[in-house]
Amino acid sequence: MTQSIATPTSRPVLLVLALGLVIALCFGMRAAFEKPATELKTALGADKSVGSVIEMLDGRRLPGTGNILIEEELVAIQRVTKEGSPVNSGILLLDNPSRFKVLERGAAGTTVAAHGVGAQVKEPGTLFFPENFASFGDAVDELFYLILWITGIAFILTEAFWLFCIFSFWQKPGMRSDFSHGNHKLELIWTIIPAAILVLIALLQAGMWREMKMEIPPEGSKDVIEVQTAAQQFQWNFRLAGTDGKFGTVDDVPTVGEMHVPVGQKVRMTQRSIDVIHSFFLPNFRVKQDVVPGLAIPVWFDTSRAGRFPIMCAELCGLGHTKMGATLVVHEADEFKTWLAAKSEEWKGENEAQDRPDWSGGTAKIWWWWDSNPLTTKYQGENTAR
Amino acid sequence: MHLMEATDFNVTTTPWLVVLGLAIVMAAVRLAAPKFYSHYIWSQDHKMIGKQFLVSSLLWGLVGGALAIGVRWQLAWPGTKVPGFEQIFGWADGGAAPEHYNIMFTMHASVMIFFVIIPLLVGAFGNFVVPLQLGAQDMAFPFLNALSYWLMWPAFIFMAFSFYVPGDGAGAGWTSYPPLSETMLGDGQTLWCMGVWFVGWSSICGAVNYITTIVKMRAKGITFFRMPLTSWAIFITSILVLCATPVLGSAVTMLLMDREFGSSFFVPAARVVSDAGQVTGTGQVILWQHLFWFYSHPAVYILVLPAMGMVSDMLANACRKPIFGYRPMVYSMAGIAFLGFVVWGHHMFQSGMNPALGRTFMIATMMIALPSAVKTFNWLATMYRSQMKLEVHTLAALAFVCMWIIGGLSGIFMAATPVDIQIHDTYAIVAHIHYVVFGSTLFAVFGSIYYWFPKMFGRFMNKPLAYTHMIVTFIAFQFTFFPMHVVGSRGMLRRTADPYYYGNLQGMLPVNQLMTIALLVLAAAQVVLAINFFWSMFAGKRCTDRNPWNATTMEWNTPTPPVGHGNFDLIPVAHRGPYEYADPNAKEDFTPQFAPPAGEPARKSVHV
Repeated sequence: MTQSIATPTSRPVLLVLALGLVIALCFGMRAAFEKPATELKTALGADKSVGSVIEMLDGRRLPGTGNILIEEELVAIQRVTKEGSPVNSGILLLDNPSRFKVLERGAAGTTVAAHGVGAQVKEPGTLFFPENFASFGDAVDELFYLILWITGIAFILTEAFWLFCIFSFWQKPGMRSDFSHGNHKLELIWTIIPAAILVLIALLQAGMWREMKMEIPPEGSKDVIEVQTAAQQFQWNFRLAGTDGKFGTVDDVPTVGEMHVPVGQKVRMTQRSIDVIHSFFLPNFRVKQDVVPGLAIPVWFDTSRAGRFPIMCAELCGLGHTKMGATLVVHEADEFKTWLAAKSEEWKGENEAQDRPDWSGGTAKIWWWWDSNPLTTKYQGENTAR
Repeated sequence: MHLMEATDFNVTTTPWLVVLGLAIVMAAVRLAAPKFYSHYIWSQDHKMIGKQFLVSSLLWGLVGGALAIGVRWQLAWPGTKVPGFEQIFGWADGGAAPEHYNIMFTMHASVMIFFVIIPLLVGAFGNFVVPLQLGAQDMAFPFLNALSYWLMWPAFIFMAFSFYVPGDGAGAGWTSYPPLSETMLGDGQTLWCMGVWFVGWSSICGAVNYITTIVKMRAKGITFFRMPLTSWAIFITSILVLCATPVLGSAVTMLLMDREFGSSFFVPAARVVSDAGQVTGTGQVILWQHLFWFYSHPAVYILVLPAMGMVSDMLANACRKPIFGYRPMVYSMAGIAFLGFVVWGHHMFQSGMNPALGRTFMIATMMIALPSAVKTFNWLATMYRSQMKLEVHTLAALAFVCMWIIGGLSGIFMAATPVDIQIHDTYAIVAHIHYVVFGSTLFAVFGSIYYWFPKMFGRFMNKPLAYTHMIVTFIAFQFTFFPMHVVGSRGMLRRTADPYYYGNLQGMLPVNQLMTIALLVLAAAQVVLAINFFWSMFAGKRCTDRNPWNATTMEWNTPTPPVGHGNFDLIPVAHRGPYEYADPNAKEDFTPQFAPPAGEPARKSVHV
């Protein structure tokens, strides 16, 4: 057989084939992304997007909220599972009766899209990052696209050279390769140039990282709305200070699965987890931070547009991880004031009626846990920023 | 597990039947062929141990691949049963339930990393090739070598059984971050810990052996800088293994003690899981991540450095040209290994680690791209003005270079801390690791199988099947993994059983279906490899040529296959560097290390 697949006649054919593959890949991906969401839902089938059992249980709980499992029930379910009864998928998301009422309270008056959270966010036309609404996000996106350009050019140059070699250097009878063992000058060049580029990228991002992760507005600063976030399997709990501006009082406003903030203001979050590691991911605001049990980690961002945005759990947290979503609701400033005042009043009435002056959050145990377990170790990152 | 009563221990009968069947087969073999065990099982010959590693890793590769199909099946057709999973694993939902999804990706990664890639590179090819390349008759410690293989078996058994115990397996991710991995119900996670612990032990036994062999047992003339790059890579990798694996062993032991004996290394203050009573420990959750990644980041280089070495050997052979910049190749491998120890924090940028540390790790990570870039350019320069010979390992080496570029470049996004905020824990990361570990490493392994198969078994593999396998794998691979970069940067989370729960991810279903279909093609191609491998082992075209690829390194100086325990019938002496191809003064286009210089007497037999 001939030693070359790239003869002068086959070369153009091979090139066209390779290019065709790449183009087909690009177009296929574009077409797939442009398919409207409604069509996709049909493609998914009304209820087939998740395991049927989890869906079944979904009917019994409020969408957008997680559930807590109890050990006894869990064991019971496992028994059932082994015996192959209808609940045999072994989904261990059970409703905790003691918590269920609270969930109902927390989500009352708000509707989370029945099928998924944050469905309201319009898909932007770009192939890469979703639309950004945070002030530091633009710099991140610029950095991303800068790296994309640099690596894109490097990719095209190196792969073009690779293709060139493949098409040019097949064995010809009687010919020998260059007898070369290397070239120090060349190697120096291709060490120094990437080094310079990498140092440039490293320098560019240092300030950005500092701004995003370390220059967190301190607690109690003006014009900053503070939100406490308590993550648990498998729901996000949020708490606002209410009209008195203090946490741990009767007029605090706890919410489940929805985080309410006013537009145009800096948001300072303190995040704690009661059980395992979760990760607070706000794709439209370029925020991601693991929520670590035993640490109270501060996070900040600001908002530039009112609307509803998805909050996702990005760190595997167990069986219900896949459903641990929430919604960020960004209100207009006035609307937020009215909303907060009304909610604050409502919770104050509730708490006082039940004679619970010392802790807030109605029956939500998580806030009782939060207030009765202050952390003695301060998060180190914040200290270094000051 | 402490929640379960004794009667709940409801192991399906399948594994026991398998054990029983195996016992019967083993007894029958003992009667029929008395030498079978001493030759194939309890052998202390490095060649046989290498083959043992190779075969068991390839078989585990089928398991890992099946689990990958399970994962991708759920992403393409959520909530439907994966064909066969109900029967194999006894899951009534066929892998559709989230906890089974968690188990599938956890075990896919664990099996692929601990049972396939590491044993294939270090165990199989390291064992088979290194002593031959050094001109040694065996490894320094043959018994330790056999031990390192047989220590894999407890791990195999633990991991395999973990699917059949209450809880159905380990499902906290291959990273097994506590507290999730500590509070996980069922025994799967415990068995996982035990399995990893034995793998670590096996790796350490191997590493000690390689380092000793390479330092002490090189034949006359093989100086350090005349060693082929495969041997260099295994040498550097072994140092990594020796320094990093004990840390993993300790971490896993701590995790095991936290799970089973009530210690609190990783138990934080005021933990409440599932409304159970509050548990207050004085441990730190992030400590596990530091310990784990202190091993597992170097492990990434354990997964790729040997592949780089093997590709360098194959590429020089395929291009009929000396490797471009032999010494810089060695130095850059050493540089990668050294820097590999100071970059583990880049897995933890969003973990709650002090962000000031994040910056340090970011700079170190950027720097590790440098030696990788040098290696890439050197491979490309090796290809330039060469005379490539079309063989299957040529395709593999070329594919490696192509995909290593993609895997390397996508790493820069992750190293840039602000960009990492967006893509951490998304499919962009999945794409990156698969371009590095599948696209690069596994292609190098495929190439190595085709390249060293004649030396191992004295037979060639079937060429048309091999070309089909390589080409289909290459194309299907791109369609399986390249779109992941895009869906990942758009926010598609990894380790999420049903990403379409999120409205902003619903549009990604068709792309995911495309990727899954491509994966099915990819998997079919691997079946071709498996058939080709096992068929050729017994019925392939015979190879009697000592040096079928006209290569230059010492392993081609042995009879094919090397007969018996002890490798060389001619005294191995090296007269030059490892990649003397295309010397214009030589008669042929390759001058092996072992070819005596003009005027010197012919090679002597070992048995004088």
